[in-house]
Amino acid sequence: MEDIIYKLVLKNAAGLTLLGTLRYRVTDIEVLAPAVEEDGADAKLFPTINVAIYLAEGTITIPLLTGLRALPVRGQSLITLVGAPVTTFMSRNAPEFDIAVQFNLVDDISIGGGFTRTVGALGTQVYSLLGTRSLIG
Amino acid sequence: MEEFLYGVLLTGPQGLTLPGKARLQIDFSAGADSMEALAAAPLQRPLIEVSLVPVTGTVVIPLLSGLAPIPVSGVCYLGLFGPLWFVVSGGALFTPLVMQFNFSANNTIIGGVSWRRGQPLGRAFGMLGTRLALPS
Repeated sequence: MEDIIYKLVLKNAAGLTLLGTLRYRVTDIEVLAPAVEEDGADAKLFPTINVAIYLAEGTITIPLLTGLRALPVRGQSLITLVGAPVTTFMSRNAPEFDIAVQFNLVDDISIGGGFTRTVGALGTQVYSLLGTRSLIG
Repeated sequence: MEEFLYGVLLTGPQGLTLPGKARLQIDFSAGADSMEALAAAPLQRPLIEVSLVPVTGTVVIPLLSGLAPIPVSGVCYLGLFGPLWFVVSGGALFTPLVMQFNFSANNTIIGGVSWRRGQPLGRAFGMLGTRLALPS
């Protein structure tokens, strides 16, 4: 599967705005079968659907935070059986850059979601994320 | 019934920023049956089971749609470890609004809003919401 590329605008609650690039692809997963227990009685009050888990991996570049390096991220994409993505999580847990990105489709060319960066003493910084589909890296 | 209120900040592609509010009620007591048909044939890949929980509420984005709260309704995709995804929609025929989000760190929600999707003035926003105390 080809890489999907989005130009990103990130914004935190104080209005700080950062630009970046997200590049990723979704592939079949090998062995990420979740340990699903039987649902409790509460959950059975609601209709349920089954959601397939795919592997998602790619890179994220946010020059003002990460420099020009494309940081590798890896995670899961949850996709319904009719092919609609539910949500995609990707993260990188390294001492220097402990980051996570999560997003959904907003319209045909846009993704909306968030980006978090955990810095030891400063705690977790949260940014909103708007991605606009880009055909070139 | 649980109720949440968020002050939201929307971000457009050019950095245009719009403030707003979202107030949502999640009704854990009744089922949403409309998407039940989606529970379909088994696949040869890992699956998780997700419950669909109805969500209703209002959204106010003054600079986009005026001061009147827009009633919205939709679904929370609830996994075994908590909510995975919220999708709510509302608005009139030519001014549809779809808001979707997930929980993030520090009592925040992150996601996106599409406004007038498919129309010349339609646009998408990124969204960052900070949880507020409900007015008593």
